[in-house]
Amino acid sequence: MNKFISLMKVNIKGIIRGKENKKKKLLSHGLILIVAGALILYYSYKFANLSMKGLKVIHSEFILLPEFFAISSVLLIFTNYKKINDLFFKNTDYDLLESMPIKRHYIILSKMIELYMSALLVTLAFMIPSYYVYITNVAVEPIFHVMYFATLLFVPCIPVVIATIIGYLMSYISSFFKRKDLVQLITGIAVFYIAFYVGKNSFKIDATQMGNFGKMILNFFDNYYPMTILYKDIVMDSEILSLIMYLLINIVSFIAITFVITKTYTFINSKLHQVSTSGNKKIKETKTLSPTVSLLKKDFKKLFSSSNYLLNTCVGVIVLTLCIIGLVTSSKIGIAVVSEISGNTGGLIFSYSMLMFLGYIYPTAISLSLEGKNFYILRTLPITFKTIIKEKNLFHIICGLPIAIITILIIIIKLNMKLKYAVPLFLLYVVTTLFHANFHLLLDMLFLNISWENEIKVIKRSIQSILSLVIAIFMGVLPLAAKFDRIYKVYIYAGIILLLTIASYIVLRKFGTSKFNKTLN
Amino acid sequence: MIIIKNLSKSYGNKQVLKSVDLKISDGDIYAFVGSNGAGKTTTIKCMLGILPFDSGDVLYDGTSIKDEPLKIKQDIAYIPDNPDIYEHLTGYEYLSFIADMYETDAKTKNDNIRKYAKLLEIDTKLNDRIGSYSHGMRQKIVIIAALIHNPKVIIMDEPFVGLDPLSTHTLKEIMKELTKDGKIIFFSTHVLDVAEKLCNKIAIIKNGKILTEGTMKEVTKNSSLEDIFLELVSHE
Repeated sequence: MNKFISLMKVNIKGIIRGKENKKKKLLSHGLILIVAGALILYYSYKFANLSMKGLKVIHSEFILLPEFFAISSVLLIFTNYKKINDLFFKNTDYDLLESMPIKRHYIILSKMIELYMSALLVTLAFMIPSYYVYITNVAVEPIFHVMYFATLLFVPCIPVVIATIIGYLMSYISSFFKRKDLVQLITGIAVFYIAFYVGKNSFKIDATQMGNFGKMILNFFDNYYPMTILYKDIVMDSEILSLIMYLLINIVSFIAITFVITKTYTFINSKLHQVSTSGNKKIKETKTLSPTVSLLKKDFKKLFSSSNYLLNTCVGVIVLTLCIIGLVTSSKIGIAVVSEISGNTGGLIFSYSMLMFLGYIYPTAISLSLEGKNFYILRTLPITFKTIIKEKNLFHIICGLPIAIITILIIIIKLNMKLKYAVPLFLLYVVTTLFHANFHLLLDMLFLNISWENEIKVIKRSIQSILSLVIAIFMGVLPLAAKFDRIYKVYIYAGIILLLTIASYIVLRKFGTSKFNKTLN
Repeated sequence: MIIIKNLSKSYGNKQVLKSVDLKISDGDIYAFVGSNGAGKTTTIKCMLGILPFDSGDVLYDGTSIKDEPLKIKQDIAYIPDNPDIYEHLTGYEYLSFIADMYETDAKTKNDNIRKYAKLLEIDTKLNDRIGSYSHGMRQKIVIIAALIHNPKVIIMDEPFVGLDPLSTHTLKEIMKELTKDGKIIFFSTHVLDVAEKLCNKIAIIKNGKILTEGTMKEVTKNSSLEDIFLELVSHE
């Protein structure tokens, strides 16, 4: 047991302070985490408040907590299933741990708890603000608080278990293939689309329930994430039996998945680490490429070789594709209703909302940091940082511009927007893509970190990744909050973004070049 | 010719290079020997222009690395002490990438890849991912990558680490062959035996200070390199 406690201590330290040992870096890391946490809490509170206002209109305040329960659970599944392969099969500490006299189920359990702990932080950030909003708007009995807090710590359990099952299955399936990374990439994207399909099918419009929107929304959450039914019974109706069942399901499933992994870990791990070689032993010959194209080719190979890199930094492409599918497959009546009700203003609101997802395409925000131990290669080559800026801009544009153009064109066509609205919106989407191309690279240069041990930390937990997402949200929310509902305002917004793009490029040329020339492994 | 003049470098308060002076002529195979932490890798990184130095200069045919870094890099190749290279690429893709960076023409690129891959017996593995390579195989790829663009100067940091005996022998032969054409080979090593048999010049460094340098005969006189090295290092 002492060994297990020691293992847990090391893992928890890893969550809290990462690999940073320097006091200054630790402080800045901690400060950023606190600010990010405060921002999440604030926006979660705002979202809960907004939801409560909407629910009050349809007299369905009781939905708020089950809604937040379902949303945070689904979010946890999607943010965790991609971590599983790295957590269990790519961590370099496994060889060391396996060589020591520690029982394997302790190692697996410590990893599961590590996953649970980080999921719990996200849960609390979502659930606490909604709890506060609920109790300040609805009169509750004292038993409500007891039931609420009895379930709170268990909220992340099932999502972590589901994420582990999905991630573990992905690793298991890929272990049978030669191109393991490619299979993981395909299955990873497939999970997104299956979730979208299930979500679409879970929302059923029942003619008998047309008068009760609240019931319809709750049914959607019940169908999409069935644990919501139990949760609702516990928190809303204070059912003890449901609470016991809920706790049992959580604990048993957590123990069961730990047991299954312990039993099958060695088999999958050895299959995943089997070295596969190409049957083709002939040396092919290739033409000479320019340094920019060659760097671009290398970056795309990296992007498509890492499912974590692709699925995280190109999540905007996936989300926008889903939106396009949704728009294209929407019924003519639905679209007509939206157009009639909202007209061009509705189109603007929709375009601004989708604009946010352009910032969710951020492969260049971490591409230089991802060079890690290979950074010296770029430094020793006869290329300037200007070549790298050019290449990274192209890299981002190829990833982001086609989907940006398709999205805005579909919005314009499907919502029958007039040309005078279409032109500035089209420009806005193009300049926003160019802005992200430069600004993300600038962020990477500002927070460049090439001394990492696991690329997942750069992809998911780096400051530049988090800031890219925060700025993306800001860029989508700003025109909505500032009510940019006139054509000239769209032009002004696009103009400001263009100016920021030029400013980013200038700073990048000066500061970036100097930082690049000073950085070395 | 490479001239290192009065090169000094500090990390914070710690001075790691103290007025290093070296002269490496065309056709030299130059061994740079020293204990761990003596300043070998720092000197090499300063020579490559990837680590700024406090004072002094590194001149390649009279041109400072500080003034024309790109022009000089075009003629240098570097083999690092640890073959950390892009694991997501195949051996051929990596070699092709490096060749493109030096704007090597397609014929030279393909001919050199073929030639050196065959010599180092890795030609049948070039279509495999680098991630599946052993340390020695990666080292071979790094060596080939350094030779593809026919550089005038090859700077190596512990090039023999991880190589099998046959490849070690082949690399030594390649080094000898290259210097016949007037190219410069400068490498750091711990293996005194290799340095003694292969190199015509040597420098011994300790705590960032050059203890001795010159032709192998001048340095060793009538003793073995090992005796001279131990004597110098233990007395300083």
